[in-house]
Amino acid sequence: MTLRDDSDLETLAEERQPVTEGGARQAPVKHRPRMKLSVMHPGSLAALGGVAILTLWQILVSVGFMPRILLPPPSSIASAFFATITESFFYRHLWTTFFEVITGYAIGASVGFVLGIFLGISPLAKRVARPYVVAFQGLPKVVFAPLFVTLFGFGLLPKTLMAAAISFFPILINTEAGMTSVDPEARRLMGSMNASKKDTFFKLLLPHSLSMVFAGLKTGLTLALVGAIVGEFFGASIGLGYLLQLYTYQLQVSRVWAITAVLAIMGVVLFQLVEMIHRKVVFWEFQRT
Amino acid sequence: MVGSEMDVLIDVDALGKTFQISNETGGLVALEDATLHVTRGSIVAILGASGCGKSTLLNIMAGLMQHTEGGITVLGDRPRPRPEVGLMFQKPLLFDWRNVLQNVLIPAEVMKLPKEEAILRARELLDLVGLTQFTKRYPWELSGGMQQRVALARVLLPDPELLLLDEPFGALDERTREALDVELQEIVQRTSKTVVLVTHSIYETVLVADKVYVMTPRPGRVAGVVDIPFSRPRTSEVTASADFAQKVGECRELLRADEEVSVV
Repeated sequence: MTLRDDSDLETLAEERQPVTEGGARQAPVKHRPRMKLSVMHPGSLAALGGVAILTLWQILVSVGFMPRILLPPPSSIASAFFATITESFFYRHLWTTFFEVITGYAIGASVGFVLGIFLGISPLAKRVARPYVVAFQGLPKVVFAPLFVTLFGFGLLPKTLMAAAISFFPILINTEAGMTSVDPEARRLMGSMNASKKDTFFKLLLPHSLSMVFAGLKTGLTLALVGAIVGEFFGASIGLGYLLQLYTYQLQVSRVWAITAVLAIMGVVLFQLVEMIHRKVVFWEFQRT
Repeated sequence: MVGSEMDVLIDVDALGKTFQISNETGGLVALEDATLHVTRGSIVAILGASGCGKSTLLNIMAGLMQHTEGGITVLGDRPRPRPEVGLMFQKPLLFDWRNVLQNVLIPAEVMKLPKEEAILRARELLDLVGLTQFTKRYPWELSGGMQQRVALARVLLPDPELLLLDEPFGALDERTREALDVELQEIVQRTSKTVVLVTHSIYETVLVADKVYVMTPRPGRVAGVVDIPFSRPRTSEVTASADFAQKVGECRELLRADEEVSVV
């Protein structure tokens, strides 16, 4: 260490403390004395809440508050769930929907990301695309479902495209916002080094935007599931959306709930996967306080 | 002109900058008739309140902004972003996705310098600014003062002849700022740099600079020049002397002269 005597070391020790002025980090806020409920782990509290709701539901249906045929109790949904996942034909449907979601999401995410970059770095592209972006933003994207069926028939393609069409938009918007939200001073810094456009993009714009890109990717993922299922509602003979409709027509309401649970699990698993990648790639977002 | 032609690194002659505002004739005069010289090895401060055009002047020197009147040469050429001129900002502007060492290496990557040498040099500079133990840390793990030390190491990496500092420690608390000011002038002396320091702190100016150009706003112009002849290296003890107080007074007088005029 250079140029330091003891008093300077004191200064350094003080510097290591979080500084409050000038937009630097705030000192960590001390936790207030906890309330009684929060003595419990939040996870077990959530589990307890879930069990309470299911129990209440079970009781209400058992005492005849709702007819079992319209609202089956959790116990019969559970047995329908295990019956469903042990049947081999179920996996054909699961795989089909999973394929549509993943493929559609991959297409939507790639297109949204690339277009978002263009809109973010090129003012001309932004001006040209602006009216279309606004129009598309206001449109409830599910209206594409019947159109895609008439255009592309009853195969996997219209469902995949639905998943892509719905999921791509938040990724586009977030990527663009990520590109344009770079601190102008940071651009000036790159300018003062005479950095090329390529360097400014790869060293500043792209890494800076990743945080928002991932926020868009997470929103888009949930929407990809919506797209695939809605697509399947319009003329499918395979897939979890098709199963949902089939069981509804057959008044197998427990099965409908079971499929819903499967879709929820699929959504959670995929979301956790993206979340994991997010934490890995944009590590700085999660470590700074 | 002081010194020979060779020794004047920045020559600013009757420089002016008018911002054109749409639908308006005349525009906003940010800088008017500024004349100043920066000689090799000196620390020149440009002191003034916000809106006096001092940052505009620095931006023109850095080649990031075009002037509209007068003339300016930097290192004998028209101003432009170049490796010989380093620019440092009030914000550290460190990239969160890079650790300290990687942040210091950004100029080397942009300028395509040989990697091994650049890393050696970056480590030397981090030693110089007292961050030897922190090369692997990330910006968010550092205090504001330490972040600015990293920024200082980064701007020194291409070994620029000339440093343009835009209120580099303006966002720090008083004690940290003074410690860094003392350190800055030692580093500058040791590495024989020439420095233009833009600041609104009279105290910082007198502590660090050889020569102060005091600027006043609306329109931004040079109100006067104060020479600070204290010997180097300076420590914070110098601030206790009567000479220091007198120089502070001179600067304040020049800043105030404008206020009285503008009130009338």
